[in-house]
Amino acid sequence: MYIFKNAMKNIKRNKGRNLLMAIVMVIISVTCVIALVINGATTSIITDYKNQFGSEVNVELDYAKIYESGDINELPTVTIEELKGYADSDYVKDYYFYLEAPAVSNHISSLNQEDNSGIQGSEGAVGGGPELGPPNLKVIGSTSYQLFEEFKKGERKIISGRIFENDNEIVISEDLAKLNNLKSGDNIVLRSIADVEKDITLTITGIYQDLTKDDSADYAYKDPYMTRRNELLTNYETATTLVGEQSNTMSRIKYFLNSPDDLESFVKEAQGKGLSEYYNFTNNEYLYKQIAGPVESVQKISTVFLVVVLILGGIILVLLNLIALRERKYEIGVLRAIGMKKINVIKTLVYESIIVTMVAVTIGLGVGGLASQPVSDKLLADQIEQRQEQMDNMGGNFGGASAALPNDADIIDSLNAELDLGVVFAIFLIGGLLVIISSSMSLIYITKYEPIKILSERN
Amino acid sequence: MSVLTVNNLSYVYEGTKKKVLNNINISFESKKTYAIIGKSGSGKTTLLALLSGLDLCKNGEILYNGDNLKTIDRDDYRSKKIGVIFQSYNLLTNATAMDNIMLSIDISGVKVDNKKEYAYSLLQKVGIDKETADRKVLKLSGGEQQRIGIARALSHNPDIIIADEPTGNLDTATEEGIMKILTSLSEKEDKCVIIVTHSEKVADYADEVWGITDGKLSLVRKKN
Repeated sequence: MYIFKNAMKNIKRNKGRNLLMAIVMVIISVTCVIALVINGATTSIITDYKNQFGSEVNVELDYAKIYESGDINELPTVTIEELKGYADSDYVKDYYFYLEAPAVSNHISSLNQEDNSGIQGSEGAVGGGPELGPPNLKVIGSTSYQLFEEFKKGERKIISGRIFENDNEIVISEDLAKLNNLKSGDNIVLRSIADVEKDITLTITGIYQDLTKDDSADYAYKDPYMTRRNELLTNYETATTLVGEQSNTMSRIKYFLNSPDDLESFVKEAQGKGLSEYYNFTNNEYLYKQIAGPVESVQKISTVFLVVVLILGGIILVLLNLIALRERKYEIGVLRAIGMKKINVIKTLVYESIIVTMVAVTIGLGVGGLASQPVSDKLLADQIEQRQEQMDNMGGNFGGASAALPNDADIIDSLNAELDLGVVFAIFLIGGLLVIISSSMSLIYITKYEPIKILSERN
Repeated sequence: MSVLTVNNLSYVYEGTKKKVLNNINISFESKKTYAIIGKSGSGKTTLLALLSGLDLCKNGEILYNGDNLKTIDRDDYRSKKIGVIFQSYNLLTNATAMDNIMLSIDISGVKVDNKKEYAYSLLQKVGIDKETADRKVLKLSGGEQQRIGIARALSHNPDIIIADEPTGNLDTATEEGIMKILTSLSEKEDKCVIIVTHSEKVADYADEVWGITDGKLSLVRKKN
C-alpha cells in the first residue's frame, strides 16, 4: 500500500514533469479516440458498401471490346440456361433473375402520358385492338424480393393491400392508382408484346407509395416508360408472360458472390464454361467509389493521423523521459540505497505511469468522444466537397455528363462516430503502451545498475 | 560481541588491476564508535559501500552476525539491519523531511503505533522541529539535511550505523552537534557506529581509529 501512496506523492512532488507527460498523453489519447472512432464508423460502412457493390455482379456486354473488334453486326447472346450454369459456382452465394418488360395498357392512363400516346386501338375495348403503341408502363418481375429492397430501404412502402405472392399479382404505385381510380383487388389488362392479340389480366394486391423524389418534371421530354411511379411490380414468371420467348434474351441475372475479391476467379470460371469474351461480369465499382469514396478518404486520413500521432507522441514521451532520467536515476538510487527492493521501485514507477496515463486517457476518452462527431462530420464534408469539385470539373470536361451518378440520398454525408467498447478497449491498450514507454527508461536503469553506481554517477 | 566481521577482503574495480582494498580484516562490535581514516582515494568509501551492502565483495567475506552478505538479502540488510548516513545526504530532495523518514520506515516494514509521531520524534531527536520537518528537503541547509539523513538511518532502529564523511560539508558548530548525536548512539543505544572520515577531529570522537593506506587497514589508536 505504501508503494501506491508513495507513487501518488511522487506525482504531486513532480507536478511539472507529470503535467507535461499528461498533456502529451491527453493529446495522443484524444487523437487516437477520434481516429479510432472514425475508423470504426468508416470500416463498417466501407465493408457494407464493398459487399453490396462489390459482391453484386451483373452480366453485361462489353461494348468497348465489340467496337474494337469491329464485329458489331452480330452481337453475341447468352441464354438463361447459360446464366444459370454460371451461377453453379463455389464463388456464388445466391442469384436471381429479373426482367423489365415494357407493357401497354389501353384502358388505364399512365403518369406523364399527357397525350395518351400509349393508348392505341379501339376506344373502350378492354386491352384495345391488335395495334401496339409505345410502352406506357413497365412491369418489373424478379425471382427474388431482393430486387425490391427499396421496400427495406424505405424508398417504397406498401400503404394498402399486400405484396404480390402468386402469378399474375402485381403492386402498383399510389399515384398510378389515384390517376386511374384503382384499388387492391381490381384487375388491369395489359397487352403482351409477344403476342399483340393476347391480353393479360393482372390482379392488384397492393398499392405502394414511392418516397423518392419525382424529378420527371425536370425533363422536357417525359417518358412514361421511364417514370418510376409507372412501375408495376410482380414476380419473374408473370413478367415473362408479357415478353414470351424474348424473356430468354431480355432477362437479366444478378449474382451475389461470397466476396468481392472472388470476381476475377468467377469471370475466369464462367469463361471456361463458354461465356463469350464480349460479355463481362461487372460490379458497380464506380458507384461504390462515388458513394463510399469520401468515407474511404476520411478513413485514410484518420489512419495516417493515428500512426503519425502515435509515432510522434511516442518519440516525445521517450524524449521527456530521457530529460527526466537524471532526476529519476538519483531517486531510484536513493530508494535502492535505503533498501527498497527492485520490484518495489519498479512498482512505484509503473504505478505513477499508470495513474498519470489513466487520468490522461480518461480525459482523452471524454474529449475525444465529444470531438469525434464534429471532427468526422467536418472531414467528411471536406471530402464530399472535394469530390464534388472533381465531379464538376469532369462534368465540365465531358459536357456535363452525369450518367451513373449516385442519387443524392445514397451519398454518405454523415458518420455515426460513437464511442464504443472496442474503442475504449483499444485506447486502454494504447494507454498500456504509453505506460511502458513512459517508464521504460527508468525500468532499464533499475534492472541494469546497482544503487552505488547510480548514486556515484550523480555524485 | 562482533556484529560485523570482515575477513580477508580485497577489492579491484572492473577494468583495473590495482587493489583498492587489500586483505582487510576487522571486527566491529556493538556499543562502540569506529573511525576509518585515510586520504582521498585510499579506499575508505569502497570499504563503506561493501560494509553497507551497496556493493558486493568478490574476494573475502563480510559477515553480519555470522551471515555472509553474499548469501543474505542485501535489500533487507540495508533496510532493516544497518543505517547509512551519506556524505551527500542522498535524500529525496523534492519530498519533505517527514516523507523521507516515513518512506524509510515503510520500506523497512518496522511496526510502530503512530508512524507520524514516531517520525517527528526521530527528527526532534536530531534537532529538527516540526515546521522544518514539513518543509521540502531542497529548501533546508546542509546541516539540516545531514540531521535528516541521521534520522532516516535511525528510523528502523538498526544495529549498525555507517556514516560516510558525516560532517564533510558542515561548519564546526554543526559538526560538533552531529558527532555528539552519533557517539550517543553507541553509548546510549548500544549501536555499532562506523564513521568513514578524513578528519582527525571527527576521528577523535571514536573508540577505535583505523587507518587505511593503499588499501590496507590498520589500527591507529584505541580509547581505553
